[in-house]
Amino acid sequence: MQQLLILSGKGGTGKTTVASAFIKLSGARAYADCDVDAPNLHLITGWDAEPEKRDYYGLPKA
Amino acid sequence: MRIAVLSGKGGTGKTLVTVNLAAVSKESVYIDCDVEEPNGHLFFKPEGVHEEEVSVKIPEVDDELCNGCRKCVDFCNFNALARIQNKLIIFDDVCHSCGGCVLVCPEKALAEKEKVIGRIQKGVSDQVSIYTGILNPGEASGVPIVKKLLAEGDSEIAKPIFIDCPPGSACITMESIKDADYCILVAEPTLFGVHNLNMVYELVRLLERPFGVVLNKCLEEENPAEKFCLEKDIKILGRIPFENELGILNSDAEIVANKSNRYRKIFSSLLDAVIKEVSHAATSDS
Repeated sequence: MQQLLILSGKGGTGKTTVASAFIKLSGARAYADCDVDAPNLHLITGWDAEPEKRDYYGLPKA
Repeated sequence: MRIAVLSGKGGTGKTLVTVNLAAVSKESVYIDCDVEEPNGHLFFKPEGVHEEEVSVKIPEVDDELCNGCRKCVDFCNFNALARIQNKLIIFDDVCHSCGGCVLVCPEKALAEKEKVIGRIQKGVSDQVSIYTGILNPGEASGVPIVKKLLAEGDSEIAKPIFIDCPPGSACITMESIKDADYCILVAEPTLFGVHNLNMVYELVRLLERPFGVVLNKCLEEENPAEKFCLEKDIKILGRIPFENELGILNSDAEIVANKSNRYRKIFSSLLDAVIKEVSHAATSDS
């Protein structure tokens, strides 16, 4: 699968806008919001079904 | 008095608010903790800039002395050390510079070396001292730079200190606001703005910092960020209009408060509102 990465140094320049447009136009099969501090992509793309949620365990190791 | 300006989302106007508050305060300190993309200096164009490197301590192994006991590997909470094929490997980017591995090594095979991760700059613009943190591209964490910036800024604690925080609500933002006397949350009137405002709202409550909201990019129509504040009973400190004139000045890296009397008034009253809240927070604390 080809991966297209969208990034910018400054905040608010339009990463999410561009990403959501490309997702729609390309009929993307998968996409990921890596802005984990302030994720917004789901507000545009929406969910077809309630998302499955899993806890992510960081440190310390078990 | 330390005032931190933050917002979850990027591009909401943190730097606009911080720079202009510092400018209308006359004698003040501006600290740019957005070390991944510091922009405040572009507005202030500081003079007499001094630069200092910021480094962290990273362990270094002497392979001759290491006997492979793995005590350091077991000790490290961040898995920054691994022993693979009879060799100790150190992952600089994961290391939190605690120095523990050096202490636990029975063979004294580990020592600390300095690793430069970025720099801070200090200059002056009119009556404002400007501190800028710059993280080198590719480095994992700007937290040590923020610590150094805030420690340097404290040498001028007699003046009001305005802290321009990084976006988001993770470690580096927490470090930037943890000693703040007051937090200003900047919000834009979009659903994204509200979603991310909620994240920093939870953060300032978690850290028990007094706070209020500045509504930026205000239009006549309904403002979802304002609605959020009313619902949560959050103090609204002021409103900044969404206007061409302001947008153009700000995009040209001009300090709007120095260019237009109307904008100077907006930021002066915002500053008054903030000072009032800070003294209020101080009295209710004691």
